[in-house]
Amino acid sequence: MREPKDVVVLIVDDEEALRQAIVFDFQRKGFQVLEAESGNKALEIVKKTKVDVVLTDVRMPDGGGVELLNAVKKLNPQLPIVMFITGFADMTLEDAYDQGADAVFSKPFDRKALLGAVLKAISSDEEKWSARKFERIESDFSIDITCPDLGTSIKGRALNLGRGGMFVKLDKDFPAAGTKIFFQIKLEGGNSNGISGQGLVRWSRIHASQDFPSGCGIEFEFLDDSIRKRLIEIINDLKTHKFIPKN
Amino acid sequence: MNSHMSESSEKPVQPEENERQFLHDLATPLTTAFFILDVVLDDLQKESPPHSSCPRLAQAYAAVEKIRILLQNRRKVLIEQGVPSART
Repeated sequence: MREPKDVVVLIVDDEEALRQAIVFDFQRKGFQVLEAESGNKALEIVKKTKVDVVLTDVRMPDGGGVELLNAVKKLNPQLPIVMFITGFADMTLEDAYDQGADAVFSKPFDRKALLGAVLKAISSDEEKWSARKFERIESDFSIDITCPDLGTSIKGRALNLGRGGMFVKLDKDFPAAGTKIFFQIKLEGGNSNGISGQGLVRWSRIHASQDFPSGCGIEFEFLDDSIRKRLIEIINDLKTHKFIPKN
Repeated sequence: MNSHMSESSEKPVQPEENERQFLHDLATPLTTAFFILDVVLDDLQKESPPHSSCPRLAQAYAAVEKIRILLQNRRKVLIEQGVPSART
């Protein structure tokens, strides 16, 4: 785990009082902190300076957070970005994770949860996914399905992997956003052991459309020891900027 | 009567659109208040003994937290109603 003093956090918000409060809080915790009042100014900083994680608002004059997210992902698909949305008139969780956001907070957000998201974002995949996060109880939601091999599943939109989680097609029994979930996805053929572990449901899509089947987006919290190393290799090979794909 | 008009079509803005915009505009200043209040309360509670203003600040924090939950609940209702931009 990296020490806060070795981590550069860029905070982007046009609301000066909020931006300065976040800067103050992260500086106090020992992080190196940079700040910008717009997406365009933040992008200039990212181009010129080493930044380890970006925290950004969405709606800002002179370059919004979505434009910043897309521009940063073109420069460095792996650079973690945490977004603040209102969820009322800016962007949806589905879009934010699909476009590469590592974490999304609906305003007003919890200060300690924000710190937790930054610490998670700067951890390696092995660190993030090697410790069980919760004990299973009978009423917990679980997905236990069998899919074709990974390539066929992705092509057929039954399953897709991102840097931080996966999309799973579901036809019924949709878990609500925020639900903890246990998954056991067996893959037919090939030499894969499937995908099993624990996660958090970040969004559910109940109504399918032509391009987007019904299903849910799951952020990985823990991956079983038997599949973790191989799955991390597969995710790295995908070279995707998407954190949780929409389909 | 709705006094807000969209710039492009001059058609009246739907009430739910007005509400979404209102809730969106409310969310940012509320975040500022909530965040700063949390920082200050944390600091004062760490003093030994905790600062005498802590109980009153804790009441303010609880009041803002209540507004935050009301906002979250309204967001859930809008999602259930299928308002597209509230699909979180």
